[in-house]
Amino acid sequence: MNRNIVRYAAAVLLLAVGLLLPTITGGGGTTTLLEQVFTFGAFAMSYDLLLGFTGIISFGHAMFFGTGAYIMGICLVRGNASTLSFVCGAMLAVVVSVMLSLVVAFLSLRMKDTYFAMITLAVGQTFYVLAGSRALQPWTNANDGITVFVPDWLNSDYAIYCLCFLFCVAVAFLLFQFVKSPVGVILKGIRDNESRMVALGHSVFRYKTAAFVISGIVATLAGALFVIAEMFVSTQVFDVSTSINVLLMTIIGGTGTLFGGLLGAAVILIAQSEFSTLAGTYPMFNDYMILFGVLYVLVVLFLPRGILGTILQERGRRRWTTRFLNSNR
Amino acid sequence: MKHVLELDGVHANIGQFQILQGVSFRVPEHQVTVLMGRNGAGKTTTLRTIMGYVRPRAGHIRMNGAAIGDLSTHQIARRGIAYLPEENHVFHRLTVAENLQMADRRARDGHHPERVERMMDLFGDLRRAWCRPAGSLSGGQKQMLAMASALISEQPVLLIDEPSKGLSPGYVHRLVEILQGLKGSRTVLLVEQNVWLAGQVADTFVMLDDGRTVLSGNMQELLQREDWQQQFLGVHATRGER
Amino acid sequence: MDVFLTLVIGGIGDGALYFLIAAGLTLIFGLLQVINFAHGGLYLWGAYMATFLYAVTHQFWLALIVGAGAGAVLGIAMERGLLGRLYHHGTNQILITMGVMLILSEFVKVPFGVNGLNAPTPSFLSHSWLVGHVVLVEYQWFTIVVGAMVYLVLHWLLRRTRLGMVIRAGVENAGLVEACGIPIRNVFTVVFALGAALAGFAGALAGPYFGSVTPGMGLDMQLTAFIIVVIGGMGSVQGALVGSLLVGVVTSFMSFYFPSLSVLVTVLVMAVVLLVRPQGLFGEARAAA
Ligand SMILES: Nc1ncnc2c1ncn2[C@@H]1O[C@H](COP(=O)(O)OP(=O)(O)OP(=O)(O)O)[C@@H](O)[C@H]1O
Ligand SMILES: [Mg+2]
Repeated sequence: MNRNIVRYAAAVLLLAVGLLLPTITGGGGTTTLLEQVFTFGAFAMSYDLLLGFTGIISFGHAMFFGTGAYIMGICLVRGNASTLSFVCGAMLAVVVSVMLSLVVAFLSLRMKDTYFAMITLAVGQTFYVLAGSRALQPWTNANDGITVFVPDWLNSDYAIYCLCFLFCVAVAFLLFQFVKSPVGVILKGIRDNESRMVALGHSVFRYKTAAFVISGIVATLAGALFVIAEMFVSTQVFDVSTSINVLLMTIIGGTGTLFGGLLGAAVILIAQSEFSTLAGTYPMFNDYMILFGVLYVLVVLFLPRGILGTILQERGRRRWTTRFLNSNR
Repeated sequence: MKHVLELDGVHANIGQFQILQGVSFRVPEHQVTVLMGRNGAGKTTTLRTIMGYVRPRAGHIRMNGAAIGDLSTHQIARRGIAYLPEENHVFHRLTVAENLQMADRRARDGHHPERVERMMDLFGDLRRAWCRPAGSLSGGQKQMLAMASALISEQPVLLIDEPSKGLSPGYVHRLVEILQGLKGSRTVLLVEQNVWLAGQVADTFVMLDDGRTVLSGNMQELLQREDWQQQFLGVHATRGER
Repeated sequence: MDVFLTLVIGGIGDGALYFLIAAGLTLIFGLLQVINFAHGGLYLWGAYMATFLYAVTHQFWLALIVGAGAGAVLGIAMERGLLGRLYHHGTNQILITMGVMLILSEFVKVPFGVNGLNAPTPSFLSHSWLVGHVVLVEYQWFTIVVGAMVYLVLHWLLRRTRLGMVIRAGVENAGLVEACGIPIRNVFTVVFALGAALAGFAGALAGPYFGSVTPGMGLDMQLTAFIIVVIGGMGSVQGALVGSLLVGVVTSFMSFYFPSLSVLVTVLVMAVVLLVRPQGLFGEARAAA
């Protein structure tokens, strides 16, 4: 009872701090950065559902993110930035992402995990090429990208910030509930010992597909928010580097910790923006992607649990995780 | 008497499971030693540990006095051990000829050295199947091919895991002759469930139960002690807690 | 008819190049059970090293050898330094090789810039002839001949040599190969180096084939190669050959008749194959399960 009150108080406090954060840090560039952290944080958490909780690697998760961004962008442009077009964009994004994830899952999840990684990479790249192709220019404006206007009620930095923040909180909450649910437990079983789950009579393919669909929906919505925050979308959202970035965020934050994705997003995006600033004075920092690549390899080799995962382990894994992950069923 | 292989308190895990929990025995030179025990006792795991597929967690494995517990499998093989596994003991997609070439490190492509000829004499069936993929052989023929592979390299030590599995009585007798023929020139550690066959060929026995050596001694003694056979091979008895 | 022939020849030329990449990928997968997500990076570095060397020395054959060598050296470093400790850990292998891909593709921009280099065709290979209305491009034929030769050499290596026998045996049962006294880890390294050398060699050929080398060419080629090995069946060299020719010819036709759809079509072919025969045309069911 007492503990519950503390928990609610903490949640309210967290929300309040989150909503007030831009006023503390001052607006402008920082708010934009925070918006990015929360959209990419949600994106990374959706990715962790695959990598950390189901044990499958996708190199094409940008296909969802980008699809969400483009659908929302196109809807807003065609609907003259009305609220209705915003709602339609979000709904359409969800529908399309479900269909897309079902098709990709059906093609690739029945085979070895390596197939999944290869096929998502190939399909993701196809989206990249399609988004930039002449054939779809009337819709996507090919390589020039689309500039987007948002509904009036969203037309302030702070409103967009709040939307991104609340979205991220909602995603964190819902995904957390999901990984604690019986389905989430089975997914972790698949990650740890797939053949045993098969032996226990679970349809591994179906559970993996479910994880992929849910992950896809979240990633798509994150993309839809991203276009609202940036008011611009280009083929970059479909680029492999977007998929790699979200992978990097997830493993740096800590695979299988869920909230690590948010942490990783913050680390990577802040580092990226610092590097870009530094590159103004020292051109060598333009090549920071190499650093990310090296960092990525080092993390996989030497810090496989990522930041949050390592912290949790240090704090005595059992004590912490029982409170953290299994509490309040 | 010289002992070629010595195991001393060997413990080994597969994954998190403790499979071997104290295996100690010695294999005398130029004799046939049979390793017995009920299904799941750890016989195959013992051979795999000797071969370096499974790393011993504790204990020592020595060959001719030198520790081999830290060597990798191919190094152990090069010390002079030929290993005939229980399953997947032939290369299914390679021809019979290629299987023998793989096994015989000194064989060269193209010509048939006289050792191959000798194997063909021992296992006439293989001659007819010379160019066929081993996967197309019958179970018993595969067993023969595996036996030929183990013999062809003329390694001084042979580890053989249940060679009689799936063989017809005629072949089992052939097998007995072959194994008896090895005595005096090769050292054999044989896993065998068939007490009769073991009695025909073995000089000494080692009994495993639940990952531990529980008995060892003269094979003739084991043949006379029905109670040991009952207790550790559990032919009739399925006394729960063991 | 002339258009048809031109397109077929062009497709086979592309396919010959694809084959060199796909063959290495599939060989490595067959034995080591590793999909090398850095394969395109090896191709990329082979291309850049060869192009650079050709620009400096004008020695075409030397450039080809150096391209292959660059691939092999990178491949050996990767296998020994990174993969060796990760066998039996599939997820991390995929992640690590992708990380290497990232580093290789980014690092190439440091010395050579982001815009790519021109890769001229050596004069003795830059002829073209008009037969009827069909243009025969010498370098295209050269590539086709080289691709065919590589296929034959690989076939000979795998079927007629002791190393090939050991590789085939290892694909099936690596543990039993070790019991024969053969250090399978060294065989792994040799095969990885061979696949990597093929990728670097393909890169060296590709420069003059496409006329230039760019930092993005590695990933593009890798994606095509992935689609090819999925179509052909992972682990099968025959499958890599058939898949390469199929993708080469189909893409060649599609980009002529429906240029806007040509990207989609290889993915669609792959999807159809995956639906009808998930293990690929020449793959074994075991590999897909
Ligand atoms: N890969 C593995 N994972 C988990 N347990 C294993 C594994 N391999 C073997 N075991 C267990 O180790 C024990 C010993 O197995 P082993 O194969 O050595 O028995 P065995 O004496 O050769 O039996 P059999 O007579 O049936 O061949 C068994 O209980 C088995 O279940
Ligand atoms: Mg056994």
